[in-house]
Amino acid sequence: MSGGGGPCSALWEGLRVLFVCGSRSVFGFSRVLRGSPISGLQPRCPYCLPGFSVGAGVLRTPPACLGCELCGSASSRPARSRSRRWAWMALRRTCSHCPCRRTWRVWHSELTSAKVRAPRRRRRRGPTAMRRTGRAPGLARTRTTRKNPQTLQLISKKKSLAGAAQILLKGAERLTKSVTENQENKLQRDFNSELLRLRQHWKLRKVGDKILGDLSYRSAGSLFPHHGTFEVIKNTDIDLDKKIPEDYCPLDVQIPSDLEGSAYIKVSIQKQAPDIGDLGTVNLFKRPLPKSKPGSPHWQTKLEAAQNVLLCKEIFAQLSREAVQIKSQIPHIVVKNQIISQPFPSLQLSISLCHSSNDKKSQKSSTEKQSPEDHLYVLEHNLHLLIREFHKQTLSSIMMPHPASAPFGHKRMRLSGPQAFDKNEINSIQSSEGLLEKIIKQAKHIFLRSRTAATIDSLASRIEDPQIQAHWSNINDVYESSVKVLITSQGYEQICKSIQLQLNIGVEQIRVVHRDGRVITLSHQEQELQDFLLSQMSQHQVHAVQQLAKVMGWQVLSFSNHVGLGPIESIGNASAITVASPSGDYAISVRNGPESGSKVMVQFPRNQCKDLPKSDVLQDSKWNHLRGPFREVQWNKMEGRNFVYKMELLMSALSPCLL
Amino acid sequence: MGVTCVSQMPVAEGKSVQQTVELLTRKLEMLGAEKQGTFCVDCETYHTAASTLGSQGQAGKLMYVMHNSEHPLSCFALFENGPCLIADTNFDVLMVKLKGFFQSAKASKIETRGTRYQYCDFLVKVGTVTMGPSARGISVEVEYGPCVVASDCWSLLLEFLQSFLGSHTPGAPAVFGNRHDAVYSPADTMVQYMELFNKIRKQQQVPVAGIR
Repeated sequence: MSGGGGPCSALWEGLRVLFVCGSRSVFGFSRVLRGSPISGLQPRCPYCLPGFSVGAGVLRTPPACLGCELCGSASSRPARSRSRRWAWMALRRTCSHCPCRRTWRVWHSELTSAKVRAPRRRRRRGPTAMRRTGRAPGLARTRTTRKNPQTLQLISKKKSLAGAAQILLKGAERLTKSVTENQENKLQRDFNSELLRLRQHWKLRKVGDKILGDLSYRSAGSLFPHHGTFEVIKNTDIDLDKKIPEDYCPLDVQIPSDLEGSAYIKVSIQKQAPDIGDLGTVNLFKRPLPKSKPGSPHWQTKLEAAQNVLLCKEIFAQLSREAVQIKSQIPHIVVKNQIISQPFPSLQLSISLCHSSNDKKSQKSSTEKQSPEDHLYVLEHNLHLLIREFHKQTLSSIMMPHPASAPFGHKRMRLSGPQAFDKNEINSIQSSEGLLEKIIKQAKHIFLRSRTAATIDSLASRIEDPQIQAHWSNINDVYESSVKVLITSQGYEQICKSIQLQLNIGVEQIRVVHRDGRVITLSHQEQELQDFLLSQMSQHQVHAVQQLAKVMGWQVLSFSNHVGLGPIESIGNASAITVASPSGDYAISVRNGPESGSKVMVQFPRNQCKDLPKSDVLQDSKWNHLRGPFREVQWNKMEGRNFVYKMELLMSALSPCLL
Repeated sequence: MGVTCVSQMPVAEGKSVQQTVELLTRKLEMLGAEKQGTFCVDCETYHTAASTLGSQGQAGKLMYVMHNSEHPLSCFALFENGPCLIADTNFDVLMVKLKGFFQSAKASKIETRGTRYQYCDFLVKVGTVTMGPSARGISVEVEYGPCVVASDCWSLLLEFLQSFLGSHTPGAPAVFGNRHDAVYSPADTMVQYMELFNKIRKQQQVPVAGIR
């Protein structure tokens, strides 16, 4: 064969010739064959050997044994007859040993069966078809073509359909491929954009083929040794075929296992010392995880939580280090996750680190035991502020630019030499109180403040006359706050304003500034403040009588804040006042003690006292206008809602009506 | 930091430096002053090196490098009647490097050491001035903390000085006059000390009775 590339190609080409001849398809080659008898030419099969020419459908020259085209072996079976068609011959030029032979056999049997299957159709179509072609039957037509044109048609259709199907399949395959690629690209793009967003908030670096991030506060000045590294991973465990959940994020972060979960610092003040067995076993209150801000990705919440855990751990580590180092009168106790200190006697401040990992066990235990909420949120917040301040300090001490010759340290410290700071100034720079000392001071202040408030409130609720009012300032320092205490009588607020106290509550003590400028320092003991306020209240009543006397036109005969006579009071001193009526006939004497209460005496003119024995000395009637002995008033039987009102009634009863 | 007056207390007749210092400190303690540690002011003299001097044969200036325990992180470098430089303590190291320009005068180190007393707003330092192994005199420094303008508190200082120095109360230091109504600075104290040390150095030539 001249046209084929190899032995098999010869076979396939033979088959093709067979097809085109049989089906009368549009191939040019078949046209050549078709036209040959008309034109009288002897067409040569382009796929046949030279001399193997086709003339008028009959092989002129008997073909020599050509041997097998495929394997080259000499054919044992020469062509069966001359009447066989060339194509048939061409096909048969293979030996029985050739592997293609089998294929050919299959084909042949197929053709035969097709021929057998459609005989009726062939019979019907046969003469017309022949007529249409204008070719005489039996003229240069192979037996095969004549016998089964329908089969060939069918096969060709099958073939072309298969081709078309293949094209369609190929196209479909390409389409699916591109769709998958698109989705993958999209995911990749999303990952990259998420990574970009992550980079805007967190420090990232690439180590090998991993992306590592840093969630520690080291760059902000923290000296905590925890590395705080997280790893950025691509979230691939999602099935592309299924519906993608809404909260799906192609980027995920892997945080160290010890930073997982949530943590917080708990600060509380208890009045009684706990059992030694309770130490270090602080239960974690179940606290809902902070809800992520709308629009913020899932990893942001995760990282923020982890960073919070890290910060809490740092605070606790710093506090426990200080607790061990600082020498105090009552040593601080550090047990497990709790630091216990005693700011005041019989009072304990406990700072504990509560860390819950997300495992079920801890959650279970937290829900089981819920202690009352005795958090000091202000202190917890302040601890965070303090540690950040501490970070800032460390950061500013190594702040660049820095003179090459100057020692490292604070800028103020650096300038202290050239600016000739003296010892006190240097001390003030250097004195850096630790976190624990500061927080204990704050706790002391908070406790003192709340106890003062409680004392004032209990006094106000217990004692109705006089009234006590407290005006707390809204804005306080962390170590100092102030309250203004007014002691008044109901209905007489305008005239009885003598007692106004300013209480400055510090860390260890309370400074009381009186209206007249006196300064009294009280200790943290509750009783001291209570006694002081009681004595002030008692003085107030006497002051109120004095003010009332002025208004009523009575004369003050004597006044004393601290009477040296009479029974001794256990708290403070009694105070007394004596006032005389405008006409001078009557006098009222009041003695008021914080403990003994008030005692009111009225002095009558002598002439009104019948039981007074006649004196030999005072014969003249003018002496009758002198005031006689005192008589006590049964004060609790007097009408009136409070002391000052009763006093007003008494005074008006004793003043003669001028009209 | 307040206004400071540095003066010299003559050694009492027939008594040693040590005894006079004890007498003074006892007086202070009687007044009610509290003892608060010790103090030290030292002074080292540097010559301008011969190589750097001009050909006109001008006399080399003296530079005094001083330290005061009240300002522990500072170092003071002064010229007589000249500027005063305040630097940090690294300045001493720098002076070693500047050997070519300033040479340390041998055995010129003079210092005063003593006790520091706090009496309300006043800070009193009574010290023994020593040069080498021998005691040369007594320095008395009084600082009034709340004020920084010398002319405003000089009379108060004077009154306080009189209370325990008696007849040996000094006149107003020269530095007060230099800056009228100006803010007093630590450098002024050092200038006063420098003058005091120079005065004591000159006395050294004339042997004074009573100083051993």
